[in-house]
Parts: sequence; structure tokens; C-alpha cells
Amino acid sequence: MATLKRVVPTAVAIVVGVFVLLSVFTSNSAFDAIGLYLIDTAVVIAAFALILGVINVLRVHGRKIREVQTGRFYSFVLIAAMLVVLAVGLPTLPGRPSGPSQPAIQWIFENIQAPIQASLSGLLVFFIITAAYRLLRARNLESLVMLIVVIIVLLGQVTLGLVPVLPKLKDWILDVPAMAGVRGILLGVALGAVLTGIRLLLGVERPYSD
Amino acid sequence: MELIGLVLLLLILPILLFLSFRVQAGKADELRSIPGMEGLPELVGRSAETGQSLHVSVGVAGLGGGMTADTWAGLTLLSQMADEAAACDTPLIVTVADATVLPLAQDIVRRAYVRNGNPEGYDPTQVQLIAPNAMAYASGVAGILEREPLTANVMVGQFGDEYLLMGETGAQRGLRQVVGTADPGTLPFAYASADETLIGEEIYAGGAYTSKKPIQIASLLAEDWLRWLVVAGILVATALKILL
Repeated sequence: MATLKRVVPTAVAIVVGVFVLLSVFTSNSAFDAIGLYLIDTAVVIAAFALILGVINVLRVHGRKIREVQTGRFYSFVLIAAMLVVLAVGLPTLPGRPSGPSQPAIQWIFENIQAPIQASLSGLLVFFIITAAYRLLRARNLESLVMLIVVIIVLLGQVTLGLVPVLPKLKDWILDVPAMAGVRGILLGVALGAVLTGIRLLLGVERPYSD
Repeated sequence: MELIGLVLLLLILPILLFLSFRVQAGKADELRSIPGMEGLPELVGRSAETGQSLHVSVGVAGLGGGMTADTWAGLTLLSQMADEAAACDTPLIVTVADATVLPLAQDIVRRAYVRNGNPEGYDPTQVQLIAPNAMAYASGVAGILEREPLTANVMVGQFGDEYLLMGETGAQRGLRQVVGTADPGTLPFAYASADETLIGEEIYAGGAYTSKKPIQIASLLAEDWLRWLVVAGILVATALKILL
């Protein structure tokens, strides 16, 4: 039984992976149809995962309220907001759009969620300043190099034409060493992602089973 | 484009097999040291000593999208940490942003407790779905980092600018932080706020560092070989462009 529990999920994952890969690499209509069916199935399963997610949110925050834990007020607000949105959005009114397109839901998103998100994005500026301060305290050679580069780039940005060499130096830093570094990281990431996919296809890496 | 992908795949498989045989025969090089990866068991140990929780995040992406590999990397590390946490009864708080990741993360933590002979120790609310929106997820996690008694914060997966809300909260609270992401735009923020940073493809190396299976180690060595091939290709193309 234990062997079955280990082998079946791995076998399913490998077979599904191979079929989807074949549908990508070939133009065979049978493989295309199988690949599409498997992807559609995954989408349906993902929709069920959302229901599990809602249950999880209710359990986690319901417990916080029940056990009078720290931050229970926020949990209460979260559950109340979720239930209100569901109560407003779920019923289908004749002749009116339903779900997220419903005017009441649109109003909630535009007047509550969007301003809160905008405020959080604004808050990021202050976090960037504290992060930059922490980074630029020259604690080692790397931080020192970063500090010098940041000063050059900042001065290159606000030189007002007084020191003509600084904007050119800034452009060179951004276009050559910085771009080379980013491309190096991206190449490594691409190779890493491909090999992760191969490990999955071979059943070597499988956190989904023992 | 599909042909290039197929050629790459067919090129990788024999290299992987060859290197796997070399690793099994003990002829392969040692894996290079990644301090962030090697320090993870110590974080679990410290949490066990203090009795305080350890927070693990697997990023803001889900499974099935373009960032699946990053989320998978986070889940692989979670699998390792959940095993160690279950073995020494360390409380673990896992947060996810996407509903597709939730059942998998819950199953990983549950199986870790079962494997270590303590199925009752598993609490399904240890794994929490925060919010599918990246900014909302970040503010939820920042709240956890602020309020919960924690010793460390491990975040590996896909993160964008919203990372700063979490990373800075953890740094200001003095938590020991290990952060890994493949997004070059987020890496400077991670470097600024974390004690250890996993840069780019280092996040995919978790399985090889923990399980030490020959095929896992071979896949990392294959990655290095392919990187040299890409470098050689770039140099040859540059030389041809200059000469012709």
C-alpha cells in the first residue's frame, strides 16, 4: 500500500507531464487534444482549490477569534469583509451582471480595495529608504562597491548638465555591467527552471509524494 | 522555437545521465557552497531551542503559471524544513498566496509529521492562505512577522516589489532572514534586508543539497555545464560578429 501511495502519484505526474510536453513539441492533433484536456482538468482542479482556500481562511481566522489571540480584531474584519462580498456578489439579480461585474462589487473594489492597495504601494517608498540605508552602510566590499555605484548613478540622474561626464557614466553602468549581470542571472534562472522541469518529469523531485 | 526547446531537452538528458553515472562512481566535483541553503537546519534548530515559530513563504505565484518553477523551488525547501521541524517539534507557520499551492503545502507539512511518527503534531492551520493579490499577501505576512513570536523568516519563490513590506518588517524586528528569488528586480531588496540571499538559480538547488541523490547532484552539475556552453556560444558569436 505504501509503495502504491508513492508510485501512483509519481506515475500520474510523469505521464501527464510527458503528454503535455508532447502536445507542445509536436503538431499531432491527438496529442494536442490530450494536452488541452489535461490542462483544462488542471484548471478545474485549481477552481476547487479556491474553495479549500476559503475554508482555510475561515478556519485560521475563526480560530484566532475563538481563542482570543493577538490580532483577532483584524481576523474579524477579514471574515466579515469576505462574507459581505460573498453575500453581495453571489446572488444573481435578473437583468444585472453577476459576480465580480456586479455594480456593488465593483464599488467595493474601486472604493475600498483599490485605495488600500494604492496606500500600501505608497508605503513602499519609505521601506525602500530604510532598505537603502541598511544596504549602504558599507559593511563589506560588496556594499562599498554598491554604495559607490549608487552615488554615481544618483548624481548622473540629477547633475542638471553641470558635470556632463556623469550622465554618460550612469548610462554606461546601467547598459553594460548592470545589464550583463541581469542577463547572467536570467540565463541561470532559465537553465535552472528547465532542469527543475526535467527533474519533475523524471520523478526525481516530488514533494507531492513520499 | 519548439524545435529549440526539443533540441535543448534532448541535449540535456544524455548530459544528465552521464553526470549521474559520474556522481555514482564518485568522480564528480563537490557541490559549491551556498551559505543560505546550508544555514537552514540551523534556523530550525534555533526555533526548536526557543520554542518560537519559523515562518516559511513559498512566494506569491501559484502552480500552473509561468512562475511554477519558482513556487516549486519554495515547496521543495518547505519539504526539507517541514521534515526537520517535525523531527524536533518546531512550530512552523507556512503562508501561501495562491489557492493552488495550499493543498500541496498542507500535504507536505502533514506527511513530514507522519514520517517523523507524530501525526497528531500536524495542525492544518499551520499553513495559511493569505490573499491571492501580491500586495494583500505582503501586508498579511507583514502582520504575521510583526505579531507572531518568530525566530526566523524563510522566503523562497516568486516575489516582486511587495517583498519589501515583508522583508523590511522582518529586518526591523531583527528576525534572521533567508530570502531567495529569481526576479532580478527584487534581488537588491532581498540583499538589503535578508541575512542570506539565494540568488537566481540557487533557489532551484534545494533538493540536491538536502537529498544528495546522484541524479539531483548531476542536474546541478549539468546546469553548470550548460552555462559554460552558453558562455562559449556567446563568445563564439561575438568573435564571429567582429571577424565577419
